Amino acid sequence: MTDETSRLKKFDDEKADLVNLPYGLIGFEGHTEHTLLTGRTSPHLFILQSMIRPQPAWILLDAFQWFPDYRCTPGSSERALLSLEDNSSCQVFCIVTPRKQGEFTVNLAAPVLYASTSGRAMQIIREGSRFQIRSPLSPCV
Amino acid sequence: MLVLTRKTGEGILIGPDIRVTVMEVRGSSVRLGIDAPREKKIHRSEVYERLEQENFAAAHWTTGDLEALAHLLGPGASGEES
Repeated sequence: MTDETSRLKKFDDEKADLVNLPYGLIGFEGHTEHTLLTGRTSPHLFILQSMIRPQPAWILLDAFQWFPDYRCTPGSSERALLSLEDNSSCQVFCIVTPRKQGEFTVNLAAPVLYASTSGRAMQIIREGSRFQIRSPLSPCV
Repeated sequence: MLVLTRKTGEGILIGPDIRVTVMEVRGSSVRLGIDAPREKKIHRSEVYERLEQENFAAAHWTTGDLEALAHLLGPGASGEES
């Protein structure tokens, strides 16, 4: 991570929720406590920042908003971990990765499920699905 | 690393609730059967490692990237930073 993205400070009018990821993100399993910032630079963007040094952070966006044909339904074990009650739903975020020359890709193969009711989140792997790790993000999506 | 030799039909136990069985050996490929609780997530190692790399790459961004992304996503995105 870069110095610029470390230790992001919350703006006064910015919404920040505490999020617990019991297993962390893949590759960051020790990072279980995060803040989720909403509205940084854009109302469409979210930033998930670890509270554990060096406080890595990821840019997220709502998968269903930008990929209308995207499908992701939490299974029973995911619902249990997220403490989702019957009929309640969770937000499905995907992680954005900057590429060269202002291009971005989105990881649709491993979305982050977030239950605001419990403050819990988890990254799941959709192995074998048609959704890719590096799906191009364009204004037309 | 623990190394064990198993034949087709034989297996190993990992803890009390995960059983891995060798189903078939064909050439250089081994087919495994895995019995585990539903909450235990099982993935091909190369898929998991690729996702690790992707998450590491995604953690490297700048405020310039964030602004470019906001611009890309369109109306209501840019110029609203406090």
